[in-house]
Amino acid sequence: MRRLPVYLLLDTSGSMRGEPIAAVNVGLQALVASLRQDPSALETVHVCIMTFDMDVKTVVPLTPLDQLHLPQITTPESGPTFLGKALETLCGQLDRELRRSSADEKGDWAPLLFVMTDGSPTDLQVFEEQVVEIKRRPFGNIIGCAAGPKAKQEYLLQLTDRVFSLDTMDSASFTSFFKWVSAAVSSGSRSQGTEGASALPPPPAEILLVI
Amino acid sequence: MPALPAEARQLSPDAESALLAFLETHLRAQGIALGGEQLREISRQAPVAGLLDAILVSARQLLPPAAPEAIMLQPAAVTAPAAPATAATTNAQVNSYRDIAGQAPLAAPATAAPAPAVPAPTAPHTPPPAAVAMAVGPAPETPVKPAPPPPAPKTVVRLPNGTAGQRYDVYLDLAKSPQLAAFRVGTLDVPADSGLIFDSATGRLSGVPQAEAGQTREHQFTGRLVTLADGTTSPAVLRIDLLINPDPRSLWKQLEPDAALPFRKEHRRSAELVGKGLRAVAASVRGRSHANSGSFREDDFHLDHDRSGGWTLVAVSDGAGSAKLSRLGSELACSVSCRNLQESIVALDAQLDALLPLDTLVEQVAKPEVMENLRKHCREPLGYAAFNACKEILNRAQGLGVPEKDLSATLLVAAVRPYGDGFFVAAYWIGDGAAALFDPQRPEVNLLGDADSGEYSGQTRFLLSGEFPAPDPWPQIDRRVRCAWGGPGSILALMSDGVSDPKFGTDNALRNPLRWQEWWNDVLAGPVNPAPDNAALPEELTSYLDFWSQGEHDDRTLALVFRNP
Repeated sequence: MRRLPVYLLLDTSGSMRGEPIAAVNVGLQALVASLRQDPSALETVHVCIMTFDMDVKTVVPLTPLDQLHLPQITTPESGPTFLGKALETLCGQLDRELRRSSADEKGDWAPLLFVMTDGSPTDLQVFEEQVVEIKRRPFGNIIGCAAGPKAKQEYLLQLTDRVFSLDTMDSASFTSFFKWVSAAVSSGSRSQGTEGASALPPPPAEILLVI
Repeated sequence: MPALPAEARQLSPDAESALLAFLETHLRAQGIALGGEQLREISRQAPVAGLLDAILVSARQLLPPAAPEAIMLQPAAVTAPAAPATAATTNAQVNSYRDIAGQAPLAAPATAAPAPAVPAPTAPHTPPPAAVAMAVGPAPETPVKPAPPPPAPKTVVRLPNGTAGQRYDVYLDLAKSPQLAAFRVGTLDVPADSGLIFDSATGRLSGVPQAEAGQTREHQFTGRLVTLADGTTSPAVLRIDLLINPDPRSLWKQLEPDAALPFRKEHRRSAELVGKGLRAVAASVRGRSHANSGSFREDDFHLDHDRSGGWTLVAVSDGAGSAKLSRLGSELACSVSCRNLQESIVALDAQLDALLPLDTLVEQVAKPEVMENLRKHCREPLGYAAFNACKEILNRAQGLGVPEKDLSATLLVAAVRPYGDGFFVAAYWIGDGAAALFDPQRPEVNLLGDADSGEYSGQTRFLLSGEFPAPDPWPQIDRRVRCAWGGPGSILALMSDGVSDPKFGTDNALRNPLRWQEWWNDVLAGPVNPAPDNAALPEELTSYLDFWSQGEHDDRTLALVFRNP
């Protein structure tokens, strides 16, 4: 069975506390419920969820969608946004767990990465180093989500040209974003083939593509 | 209010620091500033902790009955139950529990759970009306239900998910959880319509989970724990949560592509071409993933005879999933390459007759140098056919004002001529899929090229102009051209990766003759009867292509060529 690994990197810094993180949890539920309705995804998608604040945690290790249980994602009282460290952890994990094709085994589908932040990286130097590392990894698609008014898009734009912004951080916005993520994952699970990033479904009206 | 306890107890560090912070603020407001040690001393003298306990008990009586959850267990890092495509079975073991909260010992199930900061006094066997476990929220995927008045704190165990229609068999092994190790599951109330049965003798929950088509189902079974030591039933109520995924087969939709889209293609097509001593059949079906998203079939094939000689031409192409007009690319790749060979392949006859004299045919084809010599002669017609198809694709892309890669498609093209009592094949192959000459009666396979597979799944090469680099494209063409001779019972098969991936999987499997024999038996075991007089063969081949294989739902195209007796 060939896996389509999907990595979600979620900002849990102090500023996400309260309604925003509650909205992210609601959005994640919508994402999983929606993916469970996609037969392709149900058979191929593996989900990994990492959170970053002052620590980077793998809250869900790479798990087949049909075996997934979502935990409640929480935030500390306050804390920095170690996005660079998160990317570093991700690269290490990716290098360990991604399967490459060999004469005796089919490799994974090129993985998808979604990064959501409501601020900007505190560990800027690490972040800039890791942007280079991430670009060396075989991601099929990287999608950035700048959530809320304080999110700095310019950092996400260093990672990918596909950055979307959410004006508000309520349940409706996140649910809408994660449902679109689900559509992007679904299209990823069937439209692989050419080199370079594959086409994405059009985002919903609440989400603005940052150019 | 209950009487205050005679002795102050030890507070938890968190509770103590919160209390000290409060006292400090409170006293500072009165103009008294004290150090940490003094504050601690005061807090020990004053019955503060007892007062807080009393407040807690009173507060509990004001609370509505809440969903009581004491322990939440989750399987840690579930590994994928790599279910085989045919007899899929989820045989997960509940043996890797990770305790999310370890409070509320089961041995004393009536113990009130601690409030956030200040621990409550233990009051064995006299539970407050609604025992609230603050430490653990409900399982995130379980909807909050109006809870019936609970007799005692519940123990919640989450089982590995199941899938509707796929066998489920889990041993409710409590030994891995420190809180539950002293118990086994005595009874479990499992509704009949779940499709599952709990056997208390073996401790297994098994069956074939049932769910309405397309629906995710979330069970909460109630049961009781039995103490292993003396067989007594624990007063704690056990809740077992189990999520049943929808049967993926019930989720596939058949959607029509947008009516406005150009370059339309029928979802299923089959064809047969008999003559010149050969029988060629081919079928192509739209993959479930394309049907589900309302997109077109991107595979294509073409069967033809050459103009003047005795050649049969077969082509199969797979349009790239991520390229917008790959359905056009695959059609052009097949039709243009065959059209080109219609004129050019006859030139090979002279070399064939010269290098493979019929009276020593079997000896000659066994000589690598003879076949290599012949292969060099095949390069020109096959290479030009591929090149011209590529050029036509580029021209069409330019005419449409789209990038060439929007028409990305693979190509497997073969020219076949009866020769001796068998047949001769020359082929060009770019991309994934497979082209092979094999003999079902003997463990022999002649793979007519190498699949271009990348480091990750789905990565391959396409018939694009970059594959014919100027000034000398011939080294690139050379490695893609092969030729072979097959005996009377041989079969030439060309397939897109929609067939080769689920049926062979790896490059080594494609090189293994036994796998080709197995595959042919699999074809014959299905609806396919290749008897020469069976006019239904093309239709049967189409039906065959509807096989199920987990995670493999691409377009499927298969072309076969037999020697006609």
